[in-house]
Amino acid sequence: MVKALLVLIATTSVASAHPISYDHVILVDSNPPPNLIVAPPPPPPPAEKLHTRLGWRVGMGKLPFGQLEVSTIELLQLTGDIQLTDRTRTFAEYELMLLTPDGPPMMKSVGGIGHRGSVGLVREILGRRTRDGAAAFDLSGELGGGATLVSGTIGDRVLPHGLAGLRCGFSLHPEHDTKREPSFGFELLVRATFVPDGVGFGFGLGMYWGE
Amino acid sequence: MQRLVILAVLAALGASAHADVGASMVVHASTYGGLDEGGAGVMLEASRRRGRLEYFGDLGVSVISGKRGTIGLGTGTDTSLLGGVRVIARSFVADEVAFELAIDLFGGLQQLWWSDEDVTRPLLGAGLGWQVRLNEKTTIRVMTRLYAAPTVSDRDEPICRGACPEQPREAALGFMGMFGVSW
Repeated sequence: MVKALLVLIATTSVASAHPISYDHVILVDSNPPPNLIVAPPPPPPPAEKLHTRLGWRVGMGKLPFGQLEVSTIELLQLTGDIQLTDRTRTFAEYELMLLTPDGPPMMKSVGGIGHRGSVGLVREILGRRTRDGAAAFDLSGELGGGATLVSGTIGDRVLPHGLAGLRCGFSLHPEHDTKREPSFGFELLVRATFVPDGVGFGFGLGMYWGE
Repeated sequence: MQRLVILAVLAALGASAHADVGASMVVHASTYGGLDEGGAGVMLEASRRRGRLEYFGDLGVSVISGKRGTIGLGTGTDTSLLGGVRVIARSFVADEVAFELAIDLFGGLQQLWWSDEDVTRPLLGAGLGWQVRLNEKTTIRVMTRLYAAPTVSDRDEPICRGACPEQPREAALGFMGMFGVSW
């Protein structure tokens, strides 16, 4: 009892000798504060991969060239397309052409070589796919323009041109998505080419790879 | 000597266990210093594939005919030694068959030979085509190629018989089409 009394006196004297400064009191709430560390925002969805096509085509046609009517054989065509929307693509292509002036069969010979570059837009007009989505048919229209560098015995010229045509295609889609997944297809092209000397026509048959 | 080098290159390529060999039918035509020549023949190929790249060496022999203006040069031969790289730009695989878009770049030498004259010229060109690969073993290929050679020098210009038409100096430009198989 005596010991307890002494401890009480000592504690009281120390407390009065060092009064509590309320400036330094930290109030502790019995309820923990809300957790201020929030989860980082989810990463933005990955940018949609650009769907492109590369293709190979051969073709032939007719082209007015000055006073001549010229037969063209498009030996080598490289085409590239970029999908803009589900139904619209932009394209660029290069063609190597053999130009043969029309005349009697015995007199025909290659009169020149043409390098033609074109750019334009393709718009799907009609599209159908099989029930499982693994194959698709489409009919598309195209508009564009470009220039042709012609050289040879028929003359050296640069011909600007506009073009309009129709494409009929058949494609395979193992991922069963006809727009955005790898694909492989065939395409038949019918095209009118507008040059300063008139209008030419041609057709082509090609294949393309989409990614 | 030239033919020995050709055979040595092909033998070295063919000796590799991973090399493919192939054969193609080839048609070609070109102009060269006022000379128009063209023909058809066979192209042998040895190649090695690494990923999307194929390194190849070609040896081609063709029967050709040529003319300068209206003057014919008769029948001759074309021997070509080409080397280059083929890029498989796109590949579509369905089951065990792959449909591929191929672009190649090549260079080499071409010798045009007639009975009493010949021309040897360097070539540089590019090609575009497609191929079907079956079971990673057999490839069927269609290629179209465009190539060019430097401007003709007096020494290289073929000798023409009779009256030679005046022709402008010009660089050669030619094309070839190939259809073949390799395995």
